[in-house]
Amino acid sequence: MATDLNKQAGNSSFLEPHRYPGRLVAAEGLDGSGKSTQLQLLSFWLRSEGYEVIITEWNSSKLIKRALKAGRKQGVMDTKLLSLLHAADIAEMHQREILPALKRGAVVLADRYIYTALARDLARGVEAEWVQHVYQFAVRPDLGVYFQISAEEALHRASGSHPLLKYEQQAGMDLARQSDPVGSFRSFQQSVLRAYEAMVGRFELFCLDATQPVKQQQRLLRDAVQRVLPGENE
Amino acid sequence: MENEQRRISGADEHFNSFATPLLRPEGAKLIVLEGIDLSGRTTQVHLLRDWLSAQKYHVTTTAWRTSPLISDVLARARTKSPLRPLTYSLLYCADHLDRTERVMRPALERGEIVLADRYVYTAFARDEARGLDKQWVRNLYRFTLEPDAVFYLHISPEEAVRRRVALQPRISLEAKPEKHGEKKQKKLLERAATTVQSPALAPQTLESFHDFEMNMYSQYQRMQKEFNFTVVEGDQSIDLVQVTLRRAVLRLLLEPE
Repeated sequence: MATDLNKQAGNSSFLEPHRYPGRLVAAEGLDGSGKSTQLQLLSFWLRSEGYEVIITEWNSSKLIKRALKAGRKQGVMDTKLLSLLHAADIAEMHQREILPALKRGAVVLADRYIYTALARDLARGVEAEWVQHVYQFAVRPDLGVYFQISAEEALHRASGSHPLLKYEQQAGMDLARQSDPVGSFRSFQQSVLRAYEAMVGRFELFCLDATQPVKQQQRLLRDAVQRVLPGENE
Repeated sequence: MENEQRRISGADEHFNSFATPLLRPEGAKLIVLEGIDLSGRTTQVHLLRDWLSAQKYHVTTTAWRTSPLISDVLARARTKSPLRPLTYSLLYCADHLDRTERVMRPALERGEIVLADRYVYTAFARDEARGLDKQWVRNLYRFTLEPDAVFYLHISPEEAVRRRVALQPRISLEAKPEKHGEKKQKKLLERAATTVQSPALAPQTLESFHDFEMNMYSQYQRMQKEFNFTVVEGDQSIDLVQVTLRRAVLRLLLEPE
């Protein structure tokens, strides 16, 4: 146990490849970029190929919602505090679902992982060096996919016919100005987008044009996943 | 200020990363009490607070794990399903950050004396005892404020076990303590409740209690020099410990800035 944790925090980090028999594919991108659909399709394919597949989803669990609620009661929340709560949430998912599956040799498809958390934190203005350090506990994905769409397109897809109703459920609304919720949400999305774009090169994310037809995206994804599957490189 | 500088450079080279010292009004002091479970920390913090208040100082106290932000989460984890170790460590850090920004920093800016019942050293000891990477843990807490003094109430793990056993009969006799209003007992129970969740004390529980305290103890011993702890022998009467603490606090308050 101790060595596991040791590995999780510091010694081996999301900056270095892991040594588990399983594989981790992380899908990142703005809300509405089509990640979930693509992961579903990937899971069908991988299962038919005989792999054990689990899909994890990260979007503020009950655990953290409770803390966020208590925090909002106190007023405006410190951005680092928000960052720590999200990190705790991801850490729990990481230890409970992702690591055991990787140890079993399963393929884990993570619908949002640390890069989304990082992008949101950076967009909120949290010091980059500190927050990247916080996430050192996380295993580096074998494939990190960035679903690239413009902020306008994401907004359009996510908002549907009742934009404001939808916005309220979106990440980043903690920063929204009362007077102009749409405007402040848009500028938050822009900052998140910039953070993602900066991470593509830095963390070698696979950049997928998410405006292409679903089938075409899936084909590109399968090619990329194929290359990291067990037995392909050894 | 010069004092601050000296302490920072004297600290372990890996951990010179306390937040930039804020300009504190004269008299603002951050005083920390650390020590393993049942070392008498909380009792001593309360006695110090009462004494300082009686001397007309403005005092704010704060204790580990008391941020309303995480208390609900932790309570649920206790009753429903326990969280993983790393999750706790991040939640404790959130607790510390919340109290730093909402309680400690504002009080210091008002020129008050802040008494902290446990501080980051508890996190360092706990997390490092659980095998988390030292650098990772310490970097997590980079935002924290550097204390003006850290008093380490030293008791041996064996003494902690003795105290734990001594508490036991009183606990097991009363399953629902709050119904019996006797003040002293309640205090003891509260103290016990913060250290162990279940009043049941099977031999193996006692053994794991000892192992845990032993682990924490060696971490504290290791940090003593690194963070310049003032060691106060905790294995003596409450009054004697308090006298020692008051003398040291007084010296701190009267020393020229």
